[in-house]
Amino acid sequence: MAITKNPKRNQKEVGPPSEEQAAEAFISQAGKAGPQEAQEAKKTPVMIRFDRELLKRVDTAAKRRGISRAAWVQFTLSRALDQGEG
Amino acid sequence: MILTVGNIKGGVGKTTLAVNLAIVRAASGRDVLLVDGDDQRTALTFTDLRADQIGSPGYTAVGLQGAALRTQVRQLAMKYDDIIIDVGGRDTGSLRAALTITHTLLVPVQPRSFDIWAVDQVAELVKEAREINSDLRALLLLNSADAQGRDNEDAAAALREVEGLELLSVIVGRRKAFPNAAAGGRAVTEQTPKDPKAVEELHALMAVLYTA
Repeated sequence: MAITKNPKRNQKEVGPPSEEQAAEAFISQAGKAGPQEAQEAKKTPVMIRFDRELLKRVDTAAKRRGISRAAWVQFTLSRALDQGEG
Repeated sequence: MILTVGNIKGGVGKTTLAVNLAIVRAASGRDVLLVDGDDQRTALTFTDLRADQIGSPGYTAVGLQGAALRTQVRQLAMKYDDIIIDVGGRDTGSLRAALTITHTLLVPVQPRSFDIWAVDQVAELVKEAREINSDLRALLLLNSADAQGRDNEDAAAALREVEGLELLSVIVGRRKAFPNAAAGGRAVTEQTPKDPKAVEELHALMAVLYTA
């Protein structure tokens, strides 16, 4: 016979299905304990090369608002997008 | 018996204990499987070193991760007298998988605040795991204990309050014999000269793990 059943399906049949499903769910929850971690996962780090002069101006503007460089860039970008950019 | 040496905190001596237990258990004539469930694979690296130094490790070692750890260990359980799983360092799928199938969980804890705080999270995991693995026996071991001072006692008092895990009366001290022996691919029982206190502590731990 040249047809093989999905081996994953066979594994699941080892024990009573409800216990297996519970175990799978428990295992898959690893590292998802903290709500803070979940929030962090929504963010993706990006690397952008800036002209030094522009970066200086960004930092000055951020300082004036009392927020971090990353926060200022995100704030400014989101404002630009809200105003019809993109 | 399936024994898991695990904690969600790293650097507590899990691998050192796991390999020492595996070696001593194998030396007493048992057929032992050591499962390395840690991404860093230190137990497997140790086993390679041991094979180089001694010729044969005396036990079988495999690396298994995540859900595969559960399915594979269950299949291998009948082929070995003892399975020892080294896993954790953080909340991983491998640690959770081990908790669903192990008979005993041994949680090494150093007498340090950060270690003791992390035990509460282990207790949460154990509680959840018992819904799947109701007979799970969970033990806390004061490991790398201080030679003197109050910290051991204070740590023990805090650990006794942890629900669902039992604090062992056996204590393993912070002894250079453990890392020194490991650096040569050996257990503390195989060192020359031996540190008699380290050997005694290891045997006392074996006694509570494998007789109850």
